[in-house]
Amino acid sequence: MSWRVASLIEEGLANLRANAFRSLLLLGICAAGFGGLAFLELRQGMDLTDFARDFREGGAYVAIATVPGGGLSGPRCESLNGQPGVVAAGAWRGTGQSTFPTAPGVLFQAAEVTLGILRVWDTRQALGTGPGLVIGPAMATELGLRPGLIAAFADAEPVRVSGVGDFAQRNPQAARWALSPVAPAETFDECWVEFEPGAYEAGRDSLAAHFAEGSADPAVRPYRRSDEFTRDPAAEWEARPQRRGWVAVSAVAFGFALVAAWFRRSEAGLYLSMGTRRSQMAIMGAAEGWPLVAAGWSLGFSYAIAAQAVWGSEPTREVALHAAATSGSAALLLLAVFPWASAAVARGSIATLLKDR
Amino acid sequence: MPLTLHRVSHRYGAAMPWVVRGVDLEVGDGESVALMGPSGSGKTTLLSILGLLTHPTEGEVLLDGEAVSKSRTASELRTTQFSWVFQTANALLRRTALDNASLQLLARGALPEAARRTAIMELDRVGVGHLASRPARLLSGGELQRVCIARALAAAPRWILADEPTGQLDRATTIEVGKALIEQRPIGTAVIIATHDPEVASRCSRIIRLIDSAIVIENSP
Repeated sequence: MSWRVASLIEEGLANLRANAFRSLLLLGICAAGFGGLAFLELRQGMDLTDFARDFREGGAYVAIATVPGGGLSGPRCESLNGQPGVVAAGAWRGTGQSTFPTAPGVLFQAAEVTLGILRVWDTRQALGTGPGLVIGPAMATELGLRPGLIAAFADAEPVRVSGVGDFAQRNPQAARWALSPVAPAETFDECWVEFEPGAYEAGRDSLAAHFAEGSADPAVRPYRRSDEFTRDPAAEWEARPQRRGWVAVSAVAFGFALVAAWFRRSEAGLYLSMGTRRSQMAIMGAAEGWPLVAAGWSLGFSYAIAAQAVWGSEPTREVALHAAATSGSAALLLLAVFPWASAAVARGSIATLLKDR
Repeated sequence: MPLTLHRVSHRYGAAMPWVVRGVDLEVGDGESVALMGPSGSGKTTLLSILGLLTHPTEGEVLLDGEAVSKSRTASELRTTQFSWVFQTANALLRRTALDNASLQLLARGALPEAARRTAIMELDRVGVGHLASRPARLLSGGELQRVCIARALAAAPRWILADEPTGQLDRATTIEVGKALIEQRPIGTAVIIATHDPEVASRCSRIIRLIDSAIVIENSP
């Protein structure tokens, strides 16, 4: 003859309802703790996401292979496309300077490129892969060209403009270049390769060996040089201080639960004097605590998402999931320990507990 | 005898003085026993030992001849055999009088509805039925103590242990509470009351006097 589980749950819920101030206080603490943790995750996650995007668009993971005096194998460069860890690879060679009849005296750089380099240079990835001339934005403005129009170098056949590239991030000088896509045959001046962030260093280091066969003395340099002050988003994310904050947040919230339970030792003594076992008190504690923890996490996380959207940038799904996982871990840990708060403080003689106020 | 103390002594720590010394006591079913004595004579400790809330330092508590004070079933026995009325009217102060009166029945595994029905009857019987839905914190000391008595009576336990239940009440309320506890208890339920009040003690079938942590006199009122 002992408590029914349903009665224990109802008893816990009744205590939750009856102590509105204490319940709201614990709810607020949970919401503030979980919400604060989620907000920190969202804020740093989005900061790093934004930085990583800019870093990547700025060519942080681009390497350039060259051969002194030209002569880099075009097929070997294009063959990198589709390799694991390679985003895009392409080659170019200069074909000299040209003028246009409509702009006499103004020199433009002409170059032949493989299609892969358009994907490396133009971060919008908006250029088509069809035939025709791709020109830089400055050249387009100066000559009044746009996709679909026909342009002709001096002393050359007219060609259709297939696109205007945005090369500002990766190769700003190409703003005044006219690029003619060609098959990756023969040799080129440079091969540009963009790697996935995790594959960059190994890929860059193996690039020289890749070109050693077929090219003499290939050299490889990074597009953006890094030093000890260069931020590393992946390392920053790994080293973020709130990464293990879920333990601290649940510990602090549990501390408040212990304090609340401390002030209810006589109630715990009363239950124990009736033969209630500590495991049964834990069930009661779960019924009383779990709704607070669950509601606290929901409120806190929703607030964090809203706060990030208002004061920062709209969180991406990936960052929101990270924040949910970190703050959710704190909530799960608190769910596990909260029921034992009352049993933890109700130590020693029941007679002594009953005298506590 | 069903509830027996055999050479029970107790102290709260090795360096502390004995608060109960070599007590032998037997209480039968249905008896009403008053424990009297000056403050510090060991009444509350003796009651705690009888109700299995405190393990005696020495000696043994026997229930129907079986040693139970250090038994694994002590918590089960507390549920099924004992009910308490405390001096400070221990109650869930933010819960209603009815919730409090139902508590011991629920602890015994009663269905909530049945527990409430019985609790309402007991609250009526001790004269606070009209306060059933009132939060316990809003009740006077006498009303709250009667709620606690209703809680104890509702479970129809074998033993009711009351630790100075009228200690903080006025004269008129003391008499009412004493009557409720001793005269309205179920048949077969024994009540053991630690009290300073001769009026309450006089309603009991036996009075045990403690002086200096030991029983010195045992008599009928």
